[in-house]
Amino acid sequence: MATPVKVHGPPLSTAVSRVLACLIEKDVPFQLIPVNMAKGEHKSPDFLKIQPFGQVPAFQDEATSLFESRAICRYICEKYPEKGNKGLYGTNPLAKASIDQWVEAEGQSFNPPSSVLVFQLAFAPRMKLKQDQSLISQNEAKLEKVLDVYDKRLGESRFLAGDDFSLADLSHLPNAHYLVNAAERGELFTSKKNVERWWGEISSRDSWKKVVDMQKQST
Amino acid sequence: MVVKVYGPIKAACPQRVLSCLLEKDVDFQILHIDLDAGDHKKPDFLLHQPFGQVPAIEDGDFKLFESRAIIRYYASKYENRGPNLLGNTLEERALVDQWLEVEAHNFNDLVYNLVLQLVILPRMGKQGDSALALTCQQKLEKVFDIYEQRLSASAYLSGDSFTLADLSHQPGIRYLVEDAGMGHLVSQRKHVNAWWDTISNRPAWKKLMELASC
Repeated sequence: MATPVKVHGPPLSTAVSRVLACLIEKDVPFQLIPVNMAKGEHKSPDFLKIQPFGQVPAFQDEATSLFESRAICRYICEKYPEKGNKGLYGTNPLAKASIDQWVEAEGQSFNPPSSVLVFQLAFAPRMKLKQDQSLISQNEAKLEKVLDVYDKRLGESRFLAGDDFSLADLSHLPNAHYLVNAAERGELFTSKKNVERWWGEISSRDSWKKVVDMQKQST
Repeated sequence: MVVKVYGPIKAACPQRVLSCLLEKDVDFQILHIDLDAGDHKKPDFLLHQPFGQVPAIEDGDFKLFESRAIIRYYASKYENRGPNLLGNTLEERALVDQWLEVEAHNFNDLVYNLVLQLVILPRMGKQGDSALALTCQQKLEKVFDIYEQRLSASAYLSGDSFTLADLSHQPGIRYLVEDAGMGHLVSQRKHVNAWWDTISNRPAWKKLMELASC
């Protein structure tokens, strides 16, 4: 029987892959429904019904329809507390608060500069778009500063929110993966001892390897 | 136990937290941080918030930063006190989270950049980038169009009740309407206008505005 859990979007999308990583960590079966963004399918009237901003992913299960990858991830964790990685969103309020803090830090401090860099360095060339060197330099500098903060934190704590891998670390996987593997910016991570150690651990998780496989298969 | 909130009362992100604490009737103490003097980048403050941003909170031994994480924590901790800012069922809570993420990722940056160019930089005697401001405004128009559509189907963003999703918008919309001359973005949209009217007249928000005007 087909699972009612559906994720709409291409696995190459960073936000889509964030949700896929979470579903796989939580051992929740799902169907991936492709959305051809090159053909503008994400702006079609049908798609706008499930994601009015015309962005990916959109998520559906038997109970609800949601968008925003980090909200989808939290929902999956809350709905399936006993499945897969039980501590992914913490098992008590203080742990959850720390995870939320670092998911927000990812969303507000890591995501903006890393997204610009991923687009400029990995996607723009493939789309035959001209790169903006000044934008690249500015955002490299911003990201360096953010990773300096991470390096200090990761010297005090094995993972961002505490001793266990959580949604906070998971949330970073998509952009960081492209920076290291498609944008030749691995040095951003390897030049900082604790960040390097952390990146090595989180990127070698089985769940992330499966997402990377899905990305490769989709090309 | 009084919650210590580090940050200036007039800044948007501390206001997000203060609005929530006032809604939940949680006692707090504001430790003012002078952004103009660069207090937020000093070593003392970096111990509270390593990115050098406001707000940060201290609740006994418990420390937290990122306003949207702080409001999620207190809305949950005091779930049974005052208005339910989170929703009741799992699905309702997910919708609250969804619109809170929309505010964080589709709304906040546009408002921040618009206000920076039109209000903050001029206040500092610097030239704002009017082309950038116009781009932000045009993008915000599209976002507000989507909000208008949403709010024609429900009184509040995530459903029938005021939640964190609506609360999170209060500081940014206030800046747009009162400081940046962008009130028309709200007033030209019937449902957005009604929604803003309702949420900006909540006693907790009005109390915060009173405190901030001292």
